[in-house]
Amino acid sequence: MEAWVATTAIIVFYCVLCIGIGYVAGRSFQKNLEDFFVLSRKAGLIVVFLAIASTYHSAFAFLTSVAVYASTGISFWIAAMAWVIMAGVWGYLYGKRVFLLGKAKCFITPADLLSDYYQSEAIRLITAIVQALFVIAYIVVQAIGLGIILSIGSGGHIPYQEASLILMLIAAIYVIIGGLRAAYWTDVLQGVWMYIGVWIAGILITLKFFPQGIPQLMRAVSEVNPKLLVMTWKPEMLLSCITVYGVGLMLLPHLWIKYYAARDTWTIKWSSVGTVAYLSSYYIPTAFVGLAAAVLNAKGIPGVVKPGFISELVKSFGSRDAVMAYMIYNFTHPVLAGFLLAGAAAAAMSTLDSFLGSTSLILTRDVYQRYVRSNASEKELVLVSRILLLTWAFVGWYFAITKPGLIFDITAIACAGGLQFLPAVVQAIYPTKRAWINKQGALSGIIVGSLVTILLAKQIGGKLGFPIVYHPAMAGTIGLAFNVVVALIVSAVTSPPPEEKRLEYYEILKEAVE
Amino acid sequence: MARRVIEEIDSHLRFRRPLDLALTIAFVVFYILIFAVYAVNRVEPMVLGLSFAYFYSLVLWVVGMAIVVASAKLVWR
Repeated sequence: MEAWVATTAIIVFYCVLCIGIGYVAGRSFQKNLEDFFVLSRKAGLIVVFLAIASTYHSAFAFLTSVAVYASTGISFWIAAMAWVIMAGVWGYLYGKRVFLLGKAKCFITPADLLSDYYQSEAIRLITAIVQALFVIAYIVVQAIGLGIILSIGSGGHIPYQEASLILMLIAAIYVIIGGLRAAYWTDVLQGVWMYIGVWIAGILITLKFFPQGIPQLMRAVSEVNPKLLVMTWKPEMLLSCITVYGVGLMLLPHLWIKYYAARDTWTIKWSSVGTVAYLSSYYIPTAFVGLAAAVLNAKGIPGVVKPGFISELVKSFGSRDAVMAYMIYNFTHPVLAGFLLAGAAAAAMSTLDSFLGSTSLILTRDVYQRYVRSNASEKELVLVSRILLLTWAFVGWYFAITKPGLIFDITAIACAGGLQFLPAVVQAIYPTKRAWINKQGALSGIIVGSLVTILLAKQIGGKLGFPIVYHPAMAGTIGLAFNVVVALIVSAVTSPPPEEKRLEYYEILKEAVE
Repeated sequence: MARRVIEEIDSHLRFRRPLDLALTIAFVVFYILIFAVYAVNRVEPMVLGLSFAYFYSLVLWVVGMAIVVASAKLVWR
């Protein structure tokens, strides 16, 4: 049997397994939105922890972390370690409050909470639209990752475009069959698979080229490029990454609704701790592979790998993101490569399924149900959400085949969008005696922050001729600064909100501190 | 009644125990130390050949994890 056949067969086996889980999840689905999207608010620790952890880590963690390590070295580790700890802590601080409010008031989407607190249908609409649009960047990222994984895993026999489409459709199918219940269930499988896979890949690939282990790897890196072993990112880049990936990402709908699904606050507390441990330790083996790739790229090994192989991958895939998949496919046994690349696919699909599910949810509930057909039956809403889910998958795939660039950069755009909800969310879940932000302030802050973010990002504003910043994460942080200033000023010059809603939220949230 | 409740609203944001405040300060110091990496940004090898900056960040990671676990055990409800 040829190597690529064995590798592809295992990836196919993994896909069949996911669809099977989707089918089983679908059979226990109760045909109402609350069960379809938030598991009737009964998810326990293992499900919530692995759903949050595996959804947070995507093609970003498995593929682009290696690519960024190979080009900028341990700078990525220092920043990533800091932002995942921030994600866990912030996830607890806001997740617990979102959970309590969701349970008390039957919220399903992020817009449910914001529109209720600010008593504004405009905020519901803007939240749904802005989140759905920014999420496209994240869906594109997973489509890119899946295309790379199956294309390389099949030895190039399945071209990138078709490879991406096939795996995108598989994720869409199992979410369509089983709803977000399927996504939660597959997240458990995927979370375990991708974690084991990344550690095996890291250890095997490192020892293959550096049999004496880490000291030999470090010496080799020091010889080819010592800058890879120190912090080379500027402080503002470090700060922006911590803010955007640590806080902004957690505010995107696919993670937000995970907190609605939790059974109790104990589940959220310990899943936050587990999330920090899982997410941060995940970046240790990818560092080894990335640094090993940097050495191989500089020196090459005759008959094994050519110097400058990363440049060749950039020509084929439009970015350095293919480094990890290339290393796995070429330097491990074909059967193991299949297992490891299935782990990489798991990383991408565990995020993709949640994004497709949550985006179709917010568009169905916050736009279709509110503004198109308010008397639609539950059955019709589920059907509409499935059509929207498939549509968003195709939109993501369409942009992915244009090979838009490094996953690390594109992901930042989506997270920067999530970050623009921070001021409005904080005011809602931390009610204060004085309301610093009212509905006009929240609305204008979200709009201005989002616009500043996309106009300063190279991938959007750059193409429109606007002056851009170094990285979309920095665009998001600058957008947040504009957002806060505008929200506070507009709130100060418009009428203050009534006290009743703050009192209501305070009464619900008192449980969070007692 | 509503007046009394609005007066007490801010109380739920206050630190209830000295330990709550201590762990919050620990988090702030942790992030200050993250940015202090620029002050120790050297390539000289330490344990396992890791650069000083890399070794420093790994130690910080362990500290960060310890703070999170301590917070969950002692402060988070």
